[in-house]
Parts: sequence; C-alpha cells; structure tokens
Amino acid sequence: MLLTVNNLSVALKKSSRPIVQNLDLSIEQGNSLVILGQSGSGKTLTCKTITGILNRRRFEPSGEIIFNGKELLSMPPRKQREIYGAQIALIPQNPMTALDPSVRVGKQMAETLYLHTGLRGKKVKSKLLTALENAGLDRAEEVMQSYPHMLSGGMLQRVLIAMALMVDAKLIVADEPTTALDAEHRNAAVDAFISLREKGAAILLVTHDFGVASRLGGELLVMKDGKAIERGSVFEVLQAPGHDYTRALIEASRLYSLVPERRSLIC
Amino acid sequence: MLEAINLYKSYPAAGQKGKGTNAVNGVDLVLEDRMTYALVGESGSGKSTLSKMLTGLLPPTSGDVLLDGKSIFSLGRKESRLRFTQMQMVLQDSKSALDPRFTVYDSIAEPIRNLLNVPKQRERQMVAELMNKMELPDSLMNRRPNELSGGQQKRVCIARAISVSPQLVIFDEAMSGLDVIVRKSILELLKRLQEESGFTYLFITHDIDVALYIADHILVMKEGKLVERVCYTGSIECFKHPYSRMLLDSLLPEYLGQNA
Amino acid sequence: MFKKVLCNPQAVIGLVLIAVVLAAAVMAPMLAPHDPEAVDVTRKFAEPGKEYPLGTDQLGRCELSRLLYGARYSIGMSLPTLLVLSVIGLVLGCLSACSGKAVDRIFITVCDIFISFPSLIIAAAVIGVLGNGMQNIVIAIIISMWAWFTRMIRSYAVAEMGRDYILAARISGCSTFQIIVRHLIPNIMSQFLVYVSTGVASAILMVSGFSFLNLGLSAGAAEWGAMLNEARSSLYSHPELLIYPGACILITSAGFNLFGEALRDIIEPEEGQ
Repeated sequence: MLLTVNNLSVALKKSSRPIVQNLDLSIEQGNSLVILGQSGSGKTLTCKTITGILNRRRFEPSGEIIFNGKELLSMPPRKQREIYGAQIALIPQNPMTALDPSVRVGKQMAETLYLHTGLRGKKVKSKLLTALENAGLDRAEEVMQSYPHMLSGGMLQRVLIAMALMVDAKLIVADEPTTALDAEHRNAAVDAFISLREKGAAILLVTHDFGVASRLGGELLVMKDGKAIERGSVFEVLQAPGHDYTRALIEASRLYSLVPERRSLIC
Repeated sequence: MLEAINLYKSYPAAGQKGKGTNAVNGVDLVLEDRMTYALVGESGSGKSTLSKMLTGLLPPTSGDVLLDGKSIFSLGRKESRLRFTQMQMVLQDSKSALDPRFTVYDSIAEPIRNLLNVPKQRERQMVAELMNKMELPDSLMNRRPNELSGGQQKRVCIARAISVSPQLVIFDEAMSGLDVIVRKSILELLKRLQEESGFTYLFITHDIDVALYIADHILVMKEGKLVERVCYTGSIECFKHPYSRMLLDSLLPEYLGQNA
Repeated sequence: MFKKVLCNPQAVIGLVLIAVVLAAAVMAPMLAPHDPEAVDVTRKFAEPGKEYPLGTDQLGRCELSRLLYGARYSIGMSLPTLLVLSVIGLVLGCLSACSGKAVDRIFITVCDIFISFPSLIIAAAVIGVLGNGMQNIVIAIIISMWAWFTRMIRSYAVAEMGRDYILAARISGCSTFQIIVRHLIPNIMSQFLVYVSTGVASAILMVSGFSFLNLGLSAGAAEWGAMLNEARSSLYSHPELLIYPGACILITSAGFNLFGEALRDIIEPEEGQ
C-alpha cells in the first residue's frame, strides 16, 4: 500500500467537535480513489490533512496516515517537507489562483523543480517540456513562455498536473479539480488524471460530481457528515448503490435520466 | 413574448483601434410563453453577455430586443424600470446577489416595493406566501444572507425574482455552484411553480445535465453564435452539432449506453 | 461589532484617549483653574505649584487652562470640518461612481488637480482672501481635503458597485438614487467611518499646523499649535512649554488614528469571509 489512513478524525480545537470521524482509506500505486460527498461532508478537510496543509491551530487531527511506511501525522515538520510537494502533490480547486500571476509558467515550474530535486541548468527545459506534453499540453514551448492569465482554466490545471509529474510525485491529491472548469475541459482534466494513473501514480480525487467519478473509475468512498458511508469500485456503487444517500446523489447528478418521454408532445 | 433580432455585441480589443471581438455574433431568438429554454455553452461563448442584453442591462452594438413587440432599449425612464415586472433575472452567485445588510424579508420585498404599488399589509402577506412557495421557513424572515445556507440563499433570490409575477425568469448560471441534491430539489420546485403560475424560463448554463432535465428547447451557443436549436423530446439523438455531442459526452456514460 | 471593539486593546486605548480629549473640551470651563487668556506678567514662567498645576507661560497665563481650552479649538474645528467633508465626499464620490464613464473621468481629473495643490498653499490663499477666523480655517481645510475624501469614497463605491447585489437591486427596479441610498451607502459605511476617524487626526494636525504658522487664529489664542509657536521663543529656558501642547496634539491624533486603524482591522476580516 502506498497510502493507508487509519482511524483518522479531525476535530475543531475550540469545540472539539469532530468534523471527520474514524475514516479509513488506502490507495495502491497505479490506482485511484475518489472521495465523493456534498459540501460540509468533511472531504476537503480530509484532503488537507493528508497533504499536510491542515491549519493545526484550528483543527486537531488524530489517527494515522501511513505513506510509504512512514507515519506522517506525528512526523516533525522538517521531515514532512521532504515528502509533501515532492512525493505527495496537491492539485488545488482553482487553478487560476494557484500560480503566481506575475511570473512566467516555465519559470515557476523550474523553481519548483529546483526546490524539490535540486535540478538546474540545461536539463531543466527538456524535463519541463516532457512533463507538459505528458500532461496533455500540445504547445508546451508556448505554455512555458506564457503568464498564467494567458492560459485557460483547463490548461492551467494541466500545468499543475505537469508540475506533479515532473517531480515524480507518487501520490497526487486533487481537491475538486474540475469544479472551476467547463464541461469540455472537465473531461480533458479527468483524462489527464487517467494517464497519470497509467504511469504509475496514485490518485486521490475529491469531488461532488458523479460524472467525474465515473469517468475516472477506480475505487470510490462516499462521505456524509464526516463519515464514510459507502465504499467500493466506482462502477459497482454506480450500478447498485447500497445507501439511500448514495442513491439520492446519483439520481441528482443524473437529472436527465429523470426526464420522461412526454416531451414529444410539444414539438 | 421576448424577441431578439440580430444581436451583436463587440468589445473593443486592447491595443487595437476599431477592431474588436464579437462576444455575441448575430443572434436571433424568440422566447414563447410558458416554455422552458436552456442556453448552453462554455464560458466565453457569449451566453452571459447575451443574457444581459436580453434583460436590457447591457446595450447591444447592433440589433434589438423586443418585449411584447416593443424595443426595450427605447423605453422611457419609468417604463424602462417597469420592464422588470415582466422579466426578472436570477444571478449566478446568490451570496453576493443579496445585500449583506438586508434581511430576507427586505430582499424579497424590494421588487414589490419598487415595482408594484401595494399597501404594507399586502406586501407582508405576499412575502410570506413567497417564502412558503419557496419552502423557506418563516423563522428565516429576519435573518441576513450570511446566516443562510447556499440553497436557502438561492431560494431567497428566486423568491425575489418571482415576487412581481414576471412572465419571464432568466437564470444566469443560477444552478452552478450548488450541491447536486440541493440543485435537484430547487429544479423540481421550479417545475412545480411553472405549472402553477405559467412562467417562461430561460436557463443560461454550462451544465448540459440541467438543460436536459428542465428545458423544452435547448439552444447551444459557441463563439457568440447559436450553433444548434433543439426541441428536446427526451432523446439525445436530436443533437447533431459536434460541439453538442461533446457536451453530452460529459454526462454519466451509463445512460448513453442505455439510450444511444 | 461593539463587543469586538471592546475586545481589541488598540481600539480601547484609542477610545480612552478620544474620551479624555472630548471630556477636556466639554468640561474645560469647569476644570480650568484660571481664565486661559488672563495675562499676569508678574508671574511669568511660574513653576508648577498649587495655583498653577503646570506653571505659566511667558505672559503668565495658566498653562493647564490653556491646554484644556485648546482641546476645544482642536475638537471644535476638526469635527465640523469632518462632517462637511463626509457629506461632500459621500455625495460626490457616490455620484461619480454611479454616473457614466465620462462623468467619472471628469470627477477624477478635478480631484487630481485639487490633490496636487499643497494644503498649506490653499490655506494661505483662503485665509489671505477671507481673513482670519475659525470658520475660515475650516473652509481652508475643507477645500484642501475634499478631493481626498471624494476619491476615497469613490474607490469604495466603485468596488461595491461591481458586486452582484447592486445588479440585483437594479433588476428589482431600484433607480440609481435608490441604489445609492439603500444599498451603496450602508455598505460602504463601515470602511467610510474608518477613513473618517483617521481623517480627524489629520484635520487636527492641520488646525494646529496652521495656527503654528499664525494662519487663521488671532494672536494669543489658546490653540495647541499657536502655543507651540509661542513657546518656541523660550525653547532653551523652558522647554516644557513646548512639550505640553506637543503632547496634547500627539495624544489626540494618536487617539483617533489608533481607533481608526483598529476599526479597520476589525472590519476587514469580516469582509474577507
């Protein structure tokens, strides 16, 4: 197992009210896990805890997060830094605000690369180009020369994916990566994740969109009120949801299937 | 009832004089009573610009919008305001569309006060009815927007829009950003309201799922032009344009397997 | 809101300082042991003692009484000035933000022209034309500061006009006037009050600055700036006479500034949410 989360709970420090309760999950290399839930289900907080960006002043996590045999929650911050960013990459919800608007994309990528691998000099460019191409960006040279605002949301998303690729991240955590995107870019972004998975990375994707989950496939975990209420492979759950809530979610994200044929009368 | 004739809107491009890009590029549109329309397209396709022109909030570069046969851009000052008794719009982000200092009651009552000359008592009664219709509990009446959930904010916005019983309600991306379950319950409610009160709806959305669920007529927009108009009969076979097919492709694949 | 103010130490310090100065201004006739204008040359530069708690100045006037009455000048001139400035700023700023691009451009340009004049020159010109007098100082300050207020309020208003609820109000049938009165002004009020409270400090400094330069007030007036100027002549023998009014100016403007800045800190996180 690449990542195993045992009995993870996250509570608000002030009220000690648990927001995530006794969550277990695991991801293998080359596999993906989708966490599905509505807003307020604790999915984003889980994501933040796993990627180490949880605000420890407000929230108190407990349990275990074992990545590659090492426990992350109790690890001292300096050691954590070697893992986060380099081995665990986070793709944030809004790609528009994730990059520095005043620095060219290529330069930002090179900086990140240097920070995590110490690589600089002539090799950098070819490495960046390969990463961008692998993330599904055709005109990689052009992308590197652009400022973030010159690229569309879908392209920026793929730049972020390329950044995860170039540092050879083993685990890629994506928090609602498709919410800010249009339908056509949404499909392309999910496809980029699929190709990442094929290259051997593990994907943890958080979404409220069943469409995204079904396109990505793999394992699924449905969260409600901080608890895991259903798990299984995406297609199993989609075909035979075991929980009423899951059923309601599927129905609500597939509205068109509820349309009766009566419409033929209108035309 | 609402007719758009050959609408163009161009924004001046930065740096170039005279040359501009056409956000809306020659759109003709007729909206008939008691129908539900959906205008689908990606962001940047000009659908938002089009909706602003249809409501008269943005003057077109050329072309005209007729409301019941009269151009909405040549109305007098007072008539121009009164057009909002006939058409209303629900905006995308309901949180910022509500004045943070207004209570729910004041927000819903605002169009009634401005547009319908009714006594205070009747106004109170109307707001209570509207809240009831939108399934908002009475206890929320004196709350402020930041105390409401996203779904409740959206309901308040819709209640405000239908408070003056308009013929046409335009939803400008109003269903995006909502949780699927909340979205479904609001759409169901809107369908019921339409049957009761005979509104015409125009949904502006990038979500083809919503469009297929609620609309009788689906208009697909790309690069400022309407590339496809479909009278939706429950079968997606009627979509021919490659762009429409691509949009449909983002739906849950299972369904396509069943019906295609 | 009030609770938050009371929990913020900076705001409380500011409020206490403001309250002290206000109390001094209001109760000056009761608190002052002597007439601030009463000259007694036989007792000039008296040491602090029972009769003169802070001693006397070069003309034997009671220093404490003069300081107390000085608060009346500072507060009594800066507050009405700010009131007028607020009204001008709100009206012009909102109008500028709500009217079309061309009108807005004209407003900005006019404001820029006024901002580029140093306030001292405007004051000298106004007082030169209108003559001495408290109301003339007020007019001079208004003329030199209105453009700042208008621009500031315009920038708040423009930011607020871009928000969706203004568009929603228009769809709800509000006229531009109704939008300004019902939606715009209440929503920029909090930012505006912050600006006003720091504006009080600069108005006080201006009043004192003008009278230090003998602009506007009649000679011998118990105004802090004027007192500073008079004390200058005895700088080496009696430096404390310079320190007293200086400290008063410092305390008053610090009070308003501290309070204003604390108010901004309190309001801003709310907006970010």
